[in-house]
Amino acid sequence: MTPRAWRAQVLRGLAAPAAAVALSLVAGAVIMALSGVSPAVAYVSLLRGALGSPEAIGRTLQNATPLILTGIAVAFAFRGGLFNIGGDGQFAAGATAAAWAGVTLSLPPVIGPVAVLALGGLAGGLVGALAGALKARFGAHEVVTTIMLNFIVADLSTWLLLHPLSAHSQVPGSDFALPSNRLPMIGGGLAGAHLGLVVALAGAVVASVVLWRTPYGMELRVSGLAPRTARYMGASPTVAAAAALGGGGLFAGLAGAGEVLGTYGHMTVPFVTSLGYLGIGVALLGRNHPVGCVAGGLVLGALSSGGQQMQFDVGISAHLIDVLVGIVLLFVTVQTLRRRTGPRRARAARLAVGGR
Amino acid sequence: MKALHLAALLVVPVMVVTGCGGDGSATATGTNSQVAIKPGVVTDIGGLGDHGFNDLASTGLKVAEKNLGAEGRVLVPQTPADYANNLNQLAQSGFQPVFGIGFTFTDAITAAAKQFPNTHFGIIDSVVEAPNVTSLVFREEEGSYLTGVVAGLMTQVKTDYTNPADKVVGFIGGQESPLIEKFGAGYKQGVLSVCPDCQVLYQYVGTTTQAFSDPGTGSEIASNMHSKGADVIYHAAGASGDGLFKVAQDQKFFAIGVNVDQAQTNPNAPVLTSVLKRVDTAVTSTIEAQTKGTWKAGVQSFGLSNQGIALAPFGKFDSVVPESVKTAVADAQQKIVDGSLKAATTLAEVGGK
Repeated sequence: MTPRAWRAQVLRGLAAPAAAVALSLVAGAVIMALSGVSPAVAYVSLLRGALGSPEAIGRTLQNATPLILTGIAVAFAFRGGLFNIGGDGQFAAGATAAAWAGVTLSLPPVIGPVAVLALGGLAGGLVGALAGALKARFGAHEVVTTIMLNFIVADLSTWLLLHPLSAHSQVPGSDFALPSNRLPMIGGGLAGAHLGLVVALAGAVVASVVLWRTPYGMELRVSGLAPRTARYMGASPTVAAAAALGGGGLFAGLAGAGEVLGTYGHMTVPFVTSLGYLGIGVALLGRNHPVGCVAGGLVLGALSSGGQQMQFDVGISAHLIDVLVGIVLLFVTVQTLRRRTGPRRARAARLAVGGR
Repeated sequence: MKALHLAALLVVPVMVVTGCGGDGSATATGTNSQVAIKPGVVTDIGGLGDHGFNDLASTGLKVAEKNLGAEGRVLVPQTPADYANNLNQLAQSGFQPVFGIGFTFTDAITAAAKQFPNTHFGIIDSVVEAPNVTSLVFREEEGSYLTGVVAGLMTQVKTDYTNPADKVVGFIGGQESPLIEKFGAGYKQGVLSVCPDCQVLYQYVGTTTQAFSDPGTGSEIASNMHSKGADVIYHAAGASGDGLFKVAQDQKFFAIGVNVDQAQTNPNAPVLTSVLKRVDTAVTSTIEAQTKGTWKAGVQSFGLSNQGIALAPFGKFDSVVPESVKTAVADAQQKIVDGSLKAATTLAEVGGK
């Protein structure tokens, strides 16, 4: 692909999510105006909370860090033709593994967090691969198995945290990870932002390279786009399926481990949930491209930190942000559907809507 | 109009505050000495409208606004990562005392207290050791003991809802945890104190926080317990308790509520009484201490003796409850208040599950 064509494609890729965000902000303005709040004032506050100070930027980055990774978890599997709805379970598996390893493994700095993160990624990957294996071996639909595994992992994780891993302190959950295993803060006034961000960015690069620059990625993508072609190529689509979910799970596991080692320091009961599900939105926003997920994670992260500022300054319920995110995803989904009904099913779709 | 409103809010508290002296700490983080009392509350991610702690804390804040002229703010975080941010927002803007509602705030309050040493913080249901944190904890077992006395006696009385043939009562806990065990242990002890041969069925809805919002499982457990003869069932299971109320209404047996007077929030269900956990009182009194300059760090324990824990009135069942039961409850309350009786906090003290 020529650089110019590539640039054009990137711009096209950005246009749709950008339009979705813009439209949702318009819709949000209408809702605010209806509830008697000046949208201009509110949005200035949103912007200030998201990007207005080093602290605000730090919070946005902190929010974005796990979202980027859970987004990649969805996007990676999707490139293999599979829907990974198991981000929450894979996240919890990674977090639980990190909660254990963070306390148990006494390693030198740098090696410590890397090793613990690797274990977290491995745990998430195994949970993903389990769903993949069930698909490969028995044809069990991954949407069902990944959702079911979310519950299994959540309950197992809670049990582990309340019993063998319990710190027996007043906050139920694991003990704090050893300082040498913690992910350091980025610093520079970027409150809350930790080096997990670097892990997330590296994850996006690695996922892109694997998908588009390795034979494994090629097989995976062909399996996703055209399973029969993949079989003719000699690839086993079922193995590719297991690998797609396993690879996806690895990123969600990293997200969980990163939150334990970075943001929270230990894993509590309850621990953060729904980051896995939000990852679906991030992936949609990022057009199922790992690098797009970075942008998607940053957008959702900024909306979240900005929303808290909006709540504080203007007194708007932070739920409005959930509404905005919902509207963004709705628009992105509509665009995606339109695109998917584009080339391949164009005729049928056009017939269905009465021609164009 | 808005400016006028603001001015009124500022002037009234100043009139209150200036009469009360104080140790100066109330204004430590303010921009001037005439600052209003600005208490802040950060709810947990459940947010407002939970008919539980968050609403109670918000009520406590509103009472303080009304009675003390405080100018408060309630912030609702979206994720636990927002906890620190919300506490900082309030502390930075001169709000205090700043409350974190629930033990999930333990880490965030610990960090915020260090970061803002001149701001007073409060935490519900957890203990944070810091010179600027007051920890508001409750002796839930005391109210649970009283309600156990009610259950143990009522199951032996013939009413439209109870059958003396089976001396069985039940307890439904939300998430298995030491906190919920306090409710169950006190209850069981209370039941056995008045009915040693009573059977106390004891079950948790689950092991995750989901267990507090699962009325389906709540109703299954209630139904199952009732089929085994339980005719009075107490719950400490949050919204899962709604399942109990539904079944109690359909199958006609007594339910006992928790935290707020659930007979009022479920007018059609046979809610005999509720164990009130007055998070609102705790919040209001802490804010009041701030205005009076009597705020102090450390653990503030709320129980029957200081009305932090109480039994809701029997309401529409007042005529059904025999005078002897009311006397027994009053006796038990007296013993707990004067210290001659200590309610159990663990199941181990009352012969296990």
